Amino acid sequence: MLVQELLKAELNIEQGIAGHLIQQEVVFLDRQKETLLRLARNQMARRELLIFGAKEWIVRGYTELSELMVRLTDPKSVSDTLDLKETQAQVVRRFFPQLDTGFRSLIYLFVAFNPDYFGMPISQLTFLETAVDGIYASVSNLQNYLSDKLIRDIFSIRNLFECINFKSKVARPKNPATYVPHPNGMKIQAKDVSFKYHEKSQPVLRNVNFTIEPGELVSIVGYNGSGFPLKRR
Amino acid sequence: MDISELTDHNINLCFEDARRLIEQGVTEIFTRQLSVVVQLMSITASYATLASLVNRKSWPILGLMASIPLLKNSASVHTVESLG
Repeated sequence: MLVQELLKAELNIEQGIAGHLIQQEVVFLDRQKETLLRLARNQMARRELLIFGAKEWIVRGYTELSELMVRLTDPKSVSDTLDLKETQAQVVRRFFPQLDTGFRSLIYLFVAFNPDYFGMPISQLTFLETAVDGIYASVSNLQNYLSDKLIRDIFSIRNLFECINFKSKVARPKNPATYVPHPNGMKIQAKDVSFKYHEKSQPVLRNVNFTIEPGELVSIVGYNGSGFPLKRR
Repeated sequence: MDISELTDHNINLCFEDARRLIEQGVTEIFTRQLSVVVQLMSITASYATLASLVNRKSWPILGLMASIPLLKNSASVHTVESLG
């Protein structure tokens, strides 16, 4: 019992210290937010900040980021949620986009209030941001395109051109026989035709010889399995 | 071509590959190949823009801007992997 009470007291002290630190953090962030708002409302601020509500965007980005940081560092809000993995997944989904916006707004703030220090106005920073994002997007697209499929396609295209340019290695005879078509069709002639379904089986055809003249009608008669289809082929 | 040549394994493979290409659509495949060139040109254009914008003083800003997507990507990938 004594040990349990001691542990409970220690836990309370830890929670108290953590709570105090968070309170300090909140006060600090609030102070920063007020300074930012004061700067944003200042009519003497650079004119670029007035375009397209850039001031509001910067302050909103920073505010969202600071609020999220406070929520994440608060142990109460974390312990209330039972499913830790789901909480982490939510943090990933919500935290990273806000972190991105927050950092971008901070960079814009740096440039907006110290343009001479960084050697560029805020308008130039917009172009720079677009160029950087463009490079990342292009590299990402390139990664998707440069797959094994692309390499296979290159080989297929090469094969296609090879097929088009293919030249037969079989030499043509010097005096090829000319084909003279018969007015009634072709003559079919078979000479010593033999066939077995398997090597060890009995031949169904053995030394068959026949000639069917053009225009001649021939019927084949016999028992089942005596090889009609073969003769027709 | 002679009939005896059509039975050649390598020539058969070559023709099968060409047939697959035509069935899939040659235009689509050529467009896919061309898109690689397009992306490379886009990277070059973006790089040229950056080179014209950046001077000796503005390197820190460029570094910060370039590190944001990189950090975001690597952090999210790492977290997603650790979450399983």
